[in-house]
Amino acid sequence: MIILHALGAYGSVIALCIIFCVPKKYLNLSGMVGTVGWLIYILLSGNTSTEMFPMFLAALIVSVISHIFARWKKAPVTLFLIPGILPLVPGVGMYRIVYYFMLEGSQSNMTSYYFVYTLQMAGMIAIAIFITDTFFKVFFRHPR
Amino acid sequence: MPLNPFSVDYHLIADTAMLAGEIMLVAGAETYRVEDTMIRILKTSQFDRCDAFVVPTGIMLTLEDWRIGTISLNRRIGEKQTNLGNIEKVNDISRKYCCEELTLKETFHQLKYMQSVSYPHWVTYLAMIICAPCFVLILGGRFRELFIAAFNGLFIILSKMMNQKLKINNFVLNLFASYLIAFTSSLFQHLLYEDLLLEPLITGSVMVLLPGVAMTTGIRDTLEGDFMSGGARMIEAFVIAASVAVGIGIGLSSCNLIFSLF
Repeated sequence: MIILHALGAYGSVIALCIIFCVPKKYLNLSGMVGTVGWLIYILLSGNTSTEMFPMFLAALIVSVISHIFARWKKAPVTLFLIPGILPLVPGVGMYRIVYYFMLEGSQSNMTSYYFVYTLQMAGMIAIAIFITDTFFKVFFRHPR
Repeated sequence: MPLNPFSVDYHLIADTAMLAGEIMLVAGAETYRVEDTMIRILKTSQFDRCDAFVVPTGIMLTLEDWRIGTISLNRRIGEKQTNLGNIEKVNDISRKYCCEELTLKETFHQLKYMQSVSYPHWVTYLAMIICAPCFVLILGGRFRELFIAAFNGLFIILSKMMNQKLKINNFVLNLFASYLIAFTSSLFQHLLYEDLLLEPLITGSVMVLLPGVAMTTGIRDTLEGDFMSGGARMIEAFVIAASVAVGIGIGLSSCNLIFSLF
């Protein structure tokens, strides 16, 4: 199960990297960042009732790892951050918004629930990136 | 070091900075990174004032010194093409220039004739086909969803090809691609498999279209205090997400409509 998830996450992140023209030498590292992020999210959200905290933690670790890799390889952080964050983007939430929006009748009030849910997920990612960026800016001054 | 008007070609410095900024902005870099890179290059001129002002749709730069005069350039940026490799390359070249490993002329030459980082077309198309099943897998799909997702990948390739050939705007293209994806998936559910899981299938297939890049750069721009660019990027992300959502909605409901008629 976990191996399937790891394979899927790795494959999808590598494919996205190729679509966004990440150079060959960074493909493997970006794939690893994305895989780690997704595994953390899926393992934690399976065992806890809330989904916000796993999302926050996954995004936090993804951005910390990408900052570390960026300093190690002397490359822009974006190179690892964007592919790493992409599997976490709340696509499922968006689908559910549309799905419930089209159902007329009793279930249509689920739309606003999933709208808030999707915004919360995106907000968690934003806060995680905020915190990591600030942390690295304060403690590791360096030429980008 | 005293400023000597004849020692350096100041116009070339301005041109180099502008070129570097243009490549990075087109490739989808955060605006604060573009400004930072440009100002680092401009500072090597040792002018009194070096300013770069970047918004997602344009770049302005000014070099100002009372002994020499003012150089001012601005440029409009139109179509963007996300290319993280180009950002890394320009970053590398400008870093070398600021460490004085490259001369000004070499830097300009390298930027001007920089080979854009890209994979062959078939590799990109293959990646688009592989990407969808992988996302379906991690979102909880089974074997049959994987195959249909790979088939859906063809629609994304179709929309990218249309983007290159016809230059339609992105909103319509995303809408078109996600409409086709939702419609075919729903069709498969009605015709072949009653218990097809539509949620992982459709979500996984449209994942490539979702605005991950705009969202991430928007967040980081906002953090840097660049609210205008950050806000613009957030709106971009929202518009892309909305176009995909509308496409899915129309696709699902039109398929349901067709089957409810018969």
